[in-house]
Amino acid sequence: MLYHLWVNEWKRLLKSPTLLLFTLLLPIALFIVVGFVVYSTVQEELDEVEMIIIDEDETFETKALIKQLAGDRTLAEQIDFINGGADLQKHLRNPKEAAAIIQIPEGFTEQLRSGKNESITVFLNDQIPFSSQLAQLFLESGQSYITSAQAGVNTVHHFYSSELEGKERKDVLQKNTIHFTFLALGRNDLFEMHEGVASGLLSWNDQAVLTGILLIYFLTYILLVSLFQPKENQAIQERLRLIGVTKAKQRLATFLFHISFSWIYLFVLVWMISKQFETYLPFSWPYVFQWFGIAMILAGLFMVTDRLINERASKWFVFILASIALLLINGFIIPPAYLPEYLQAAWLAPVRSLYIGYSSILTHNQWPWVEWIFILIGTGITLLLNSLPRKKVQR
Amino acid sequence: MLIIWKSIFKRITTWVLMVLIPIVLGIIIYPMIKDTVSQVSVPITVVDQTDQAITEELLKEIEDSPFQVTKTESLDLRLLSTGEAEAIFVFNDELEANILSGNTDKIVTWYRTENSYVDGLFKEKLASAIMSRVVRAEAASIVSHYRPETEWDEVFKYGLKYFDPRPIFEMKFEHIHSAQNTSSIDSGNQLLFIIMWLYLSMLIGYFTKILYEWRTDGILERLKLLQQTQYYYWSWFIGVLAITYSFSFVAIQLIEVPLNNWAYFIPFGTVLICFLFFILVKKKWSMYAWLISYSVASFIIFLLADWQIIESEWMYLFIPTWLLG
Repeated sequence: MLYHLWVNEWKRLLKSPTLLLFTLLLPIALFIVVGFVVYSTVQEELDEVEMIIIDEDETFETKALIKQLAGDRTLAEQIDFINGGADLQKHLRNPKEAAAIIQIPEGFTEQLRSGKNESITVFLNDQIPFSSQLAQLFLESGQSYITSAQAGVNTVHHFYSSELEGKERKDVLQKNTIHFTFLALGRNDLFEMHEGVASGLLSWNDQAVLTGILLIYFLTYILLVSLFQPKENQAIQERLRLIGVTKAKQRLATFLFHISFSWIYLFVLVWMISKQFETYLPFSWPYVFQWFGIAMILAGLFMVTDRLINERASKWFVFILASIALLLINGFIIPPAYLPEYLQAAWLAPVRSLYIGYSSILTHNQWPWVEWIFILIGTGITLLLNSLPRKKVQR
Repeated sequence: MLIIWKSIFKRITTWVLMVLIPIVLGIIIYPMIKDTVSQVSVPITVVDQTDQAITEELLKEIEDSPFQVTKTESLDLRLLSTGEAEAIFVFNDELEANILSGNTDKIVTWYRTENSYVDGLFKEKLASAIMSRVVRAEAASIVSHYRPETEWDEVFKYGLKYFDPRPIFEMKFEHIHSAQNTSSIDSGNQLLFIIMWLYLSMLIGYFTKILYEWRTDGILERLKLLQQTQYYYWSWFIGVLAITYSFSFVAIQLIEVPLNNWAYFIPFGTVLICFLFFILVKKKWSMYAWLISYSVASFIIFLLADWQIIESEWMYLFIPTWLLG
């Protein structure tokens, strides 16, 4: 009987090919369009970030500053400093590809040397948001080093070089400026870095692929469940009851239908992605099985909410909320290491099996047997809740 | 007409959608999400085997957010492989003495993995805190060299005035071409606004579904005979509009999004588009499909427009973007 109910669910799906096509294509189309727009914008913008410098002061110090900024080893390849001459207004009216225009005001060096805080104005070009944000990040990080360097120069000047005269004074000042600028910008020498391979975290790439697949799948699943809801027909229910088909059995059939649909969908999706982008996602069976586990848990969650709540809007609300909470606790939305401590509690470990499974597969190359057992137990619990008589559940 | 509205308000779903869900979202879920997001942090471990006073000072200077720093006395690299630490920084046993004497090469050992994401930011903050001491010590050494009579400590302390209370060198960031004053709005509010609109469109979708039910139940047919269909359409339209505007009014009070003149038409536009779907699309589920597509597309276009990735006239076809217009 269960088999016939299950087949019936598939028939119902195939009866509306347009709606089915919509369910299958909308999430993918959205993902591709948004991904393409964002990717191409970011790519185009970050190809080379241009910064125009209007140096109205033109002293040895400002020139050294520009030279040092341009020579920073972390970002030098991406950032191109352009000498913008003296006409600030011209560049403000037409910033073209410049992410930021940096204006060093006249008298800047003198003020700085005398210990006054004379700020440099940075005009960020909001038309190219990614580049201008990168420029801001870069310049903000530069602030503390320039303060350090200038603090060194000023201190020595106060106690020593200010008492010197003429050329000697100028030479000592220049020498100290270079010395302290190099010292402050050479902050990477403070560290000895060791980079290991073994990690409990997923790489950016793995995390991005995982979130991408999850988004597409979750949206598809929600569309499938909402657009192909069975009709509540009194007469049909009456007839089903006569031949011994309980509500629990109907829900079980729907559960099996959701799982079979999801398994086919996820297998095809993972297979296609791994065919197209093998470097990002090499095909592996444990990876696919882990997705099958997620599908089982989500379908189980839907079955239980359907069992506990009759009213449609509340049912949907609770199901979406519970799924999002589950995905959050697992670390799909925010990587698990960054979650608040109460969400990282040890007793939640079995609930986190959906995500931990991936870190076993992707970073440790192991089959996540323990996590799969937890997923099976989770599915078992949902099946149990489905078949309990209503009164027992309510109590 | 009243009978029909009475029947609508008799349904539990109407009350669940209009009252229960917004209340649960506003009172329980939203504060919970806010709380969780504020607690999101990057775990960093600092190892100081000799429990030096300077370690405390440095960690105090580095702003906590977004890092959660744990100080230990022994190095445990397993923390990296379990994901409990994003990176581990081991301080040299004689950190302060090394800084003061200018022996600053590799005074901190930094362990990370190829999958560590944002530990570089912590490294920059730590480097900046250490560097403020290194330059002052260097300046004191230079001055002592040329002016042996000067107190080393005095010079070292003097340098502090360039860091405190404000650093001597600051940049002032301004925006050019910031479209429609949006850059000054907290982006969190924009996200909240579009989520609320998404909910609103689903709520209107629910009321549109009722129109389909009238159609299948033959109510509209019968009204046609009495030539009163228009009258009922108007009643539906005005009723839904009233609900939508009161809902929006309460929502806007809560999220404090600055409004322009076009923003007041957003609820009206949304009701109108749902009504158009009803006129043009015959099947209830197809209407849902159209409404979902339109709403999700609007959600994305709104965010892209808010981030200024797209900026063209056609984006105003998607109603929420009127807020940015």
